[in-house]
Amino acid sequence: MLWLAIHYPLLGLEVLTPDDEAAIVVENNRVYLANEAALQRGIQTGSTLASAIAIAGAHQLTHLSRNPQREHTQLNALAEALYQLSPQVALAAPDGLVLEIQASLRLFGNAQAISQRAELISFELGFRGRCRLAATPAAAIALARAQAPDLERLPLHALALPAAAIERFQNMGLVQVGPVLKLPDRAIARRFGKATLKVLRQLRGDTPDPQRFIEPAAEFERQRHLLDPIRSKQGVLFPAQRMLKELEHWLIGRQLAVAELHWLFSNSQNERADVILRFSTPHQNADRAFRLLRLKLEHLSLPADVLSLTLQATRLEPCVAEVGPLFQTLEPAEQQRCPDELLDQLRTRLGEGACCTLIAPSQHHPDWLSKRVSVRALSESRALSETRALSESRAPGEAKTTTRDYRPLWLCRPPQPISPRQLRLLHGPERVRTAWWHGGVERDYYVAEHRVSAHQTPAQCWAFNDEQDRWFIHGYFG
Amino acid sequence: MRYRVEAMAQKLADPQTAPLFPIESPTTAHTPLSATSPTPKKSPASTPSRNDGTAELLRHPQLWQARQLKQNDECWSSGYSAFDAALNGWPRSGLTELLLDRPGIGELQLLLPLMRTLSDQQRWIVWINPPHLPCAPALEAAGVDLGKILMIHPRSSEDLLWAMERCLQSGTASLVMTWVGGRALQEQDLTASQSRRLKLAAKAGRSLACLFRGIAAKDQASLANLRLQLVPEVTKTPTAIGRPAALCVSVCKRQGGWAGAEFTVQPDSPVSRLHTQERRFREQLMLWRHRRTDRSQPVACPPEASTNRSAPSGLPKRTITPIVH
Repeated sequence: MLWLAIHYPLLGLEVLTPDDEAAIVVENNRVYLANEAALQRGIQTGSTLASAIAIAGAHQLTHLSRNPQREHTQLNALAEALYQLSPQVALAAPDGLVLEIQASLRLFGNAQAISQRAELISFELGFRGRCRLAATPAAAIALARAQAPDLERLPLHALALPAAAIERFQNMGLVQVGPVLKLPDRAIARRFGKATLKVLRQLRGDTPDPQRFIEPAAEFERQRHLLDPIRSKQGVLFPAQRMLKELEHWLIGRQLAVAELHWLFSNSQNERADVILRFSTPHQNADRAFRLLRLKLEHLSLPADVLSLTLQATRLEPCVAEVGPLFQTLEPAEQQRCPDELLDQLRTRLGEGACCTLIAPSQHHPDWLSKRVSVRALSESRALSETRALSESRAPGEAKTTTRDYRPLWLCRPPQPISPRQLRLLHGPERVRTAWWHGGVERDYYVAEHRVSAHQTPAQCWAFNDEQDRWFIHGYFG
Repeated sequence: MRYRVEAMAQKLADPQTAPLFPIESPTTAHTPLSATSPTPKKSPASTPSRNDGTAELLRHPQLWQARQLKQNDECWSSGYSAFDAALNGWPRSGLTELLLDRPGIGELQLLLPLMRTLSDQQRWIVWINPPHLPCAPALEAAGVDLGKILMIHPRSSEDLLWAMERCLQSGTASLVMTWVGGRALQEQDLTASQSRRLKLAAKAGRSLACLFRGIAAKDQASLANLRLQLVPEVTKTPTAIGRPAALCVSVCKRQGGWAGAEFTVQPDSPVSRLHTQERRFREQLMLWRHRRTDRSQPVACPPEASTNRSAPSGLPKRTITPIVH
């Protein structure tokens, strides 16, 4: 068993504010956490709020009160994001996570790669974590918290021992874990009690240390409350990107892909703006979702002073692994882009009706030769055309090419009435009759040359003469 | 501008008007110009130069000549021999303008072989603001994959230009055809700066933009890489059924080449030729299959003899019926 612990030293601060200005988190009127800028000014953790303000000046120091509820929620979210590295992730409250990575070593290469990845994922979500590896979960988390190189030199106060026990060890001249672990168990049990012995035995791995592994939620919903109201759309994008990153890691962990996202932006007056993003193909890519959100926001008015953002994945589908082509026909840069992203963007800006594709309904009726239909995703239509090709391979070259050779490339909808004097008939007629349930049209089709005046360029057209002896142009041989 | 520099260089390089002097070209891999253009001759290096100032000017790193411009060596075959001979095919990226009087004179026929080639790619073939509805069966018969066709009908010119730029830039559209006209896009909406944006987008996304414009736009300056004017050839006799007359293509502008070339393409040829080839192949396949399945029938003639459709003398009639449409 190999355990990876990741400790977030500034979790309590990072859940509240993302920026680097001097800031402290206060609990019970004492400084609980201070960031680097605050530490440089001389503020120490544990000092009172009054002395911290006196040192830094009231206007240059942000002080926030601790929110353990949010810390816990965020720790859970981080655990779900790291679920992609190992199926066994446990919380080490209040500010750490423990992962069992023995089974993942082969997939990711080595333990170093996994810890780097864990730190990177945390960093993408806005949290700085520090990793340590050990043979037991208790040792891993203790090493990560103390940032000690090994158990020998781990300071005793990093362990969850009673304060009295630590003091007695110190009085005996023991400040590091190494010498303590060498003492006989019976002596420790007699002098310090069974609780201390249990902690030490779990550190060594002699006593089982059961962990409660998380089960990632079946639904994805995240909410983010902001300290300062956001007045511009650009300001919304920054927290939105973080949330989408969180979604991406959650999706990878759950092996799911998202097809529809629901954003909700609201302010303190309860005014809200809903944004729904639909994707033609389910995917896991946060950048793709972000680009679409940015496009959508361009033409949308948000409520003034947005204070909270909610992201919900409303339609999830199992993730289908991408199958690349065997031969590289395009440049690598072109292959990385998804053709369906273009479709999503066009639909988002121009509307659903503005984008369409063509199908050829197998109809004899000349008005229904070609039909506009809403466009499918390219991957979907590829699968469709493959099945169609399979079904058609049974009977190659039916009556398909016989008449269609003579069909024009442009069709006028509806057919344009025309004076027969402007037409010079070249070929024909071809009688087209349709059944009564299709309107019962009876037309004589000709290939003709259409010319309005002697100076105009002639064009070959597909004209017909109906029952009432009217003439129409139905298409051009473009 | 670059043409002017080229002309100046030629004038100076002309042995009759100016003394010979070497013109060094920094690029070694330059492609030759088309045959009609007069190429400046390289003079022997030994000839002393009197006009040292010009020679120095020509050696200046910031001055470049038109022939140094790297020609777009990556081209798609157009499917027409005359077209390929004159222009080396369709460029793979960039902005192309097709100037025509009215839609329906054979402009789609000119692009059909290209569309068939591009159907093999996993990229869209985009039609923006087409004047009429394209006929799906005719496209399908020409070998165009309907699943790759994306038709966009924007309402305003702003949306149209955005959509076109987006399609080109994304790199996931192989060909973007846009028709100027109708409600969405007027000639005056297309300014030089927008053409430039489209050109850059096409270059970035490695896709070909085809802009169909009226012939009136011929006199306007354009930033397109290639401008072709399409005029149908006037013939007295009717052409093959359902095929437009031959198309006269004249090159109005060509980046890295010379304008003024004119050639004629017969839109009939590639499609019908392919169809006959395909049909012949299918017939052979059918004959072969029937021969394989029908063991009881003795083979009457060798398969080579059955290539000719009209004279399958020794075969039973049943095998022929499904082939003749």
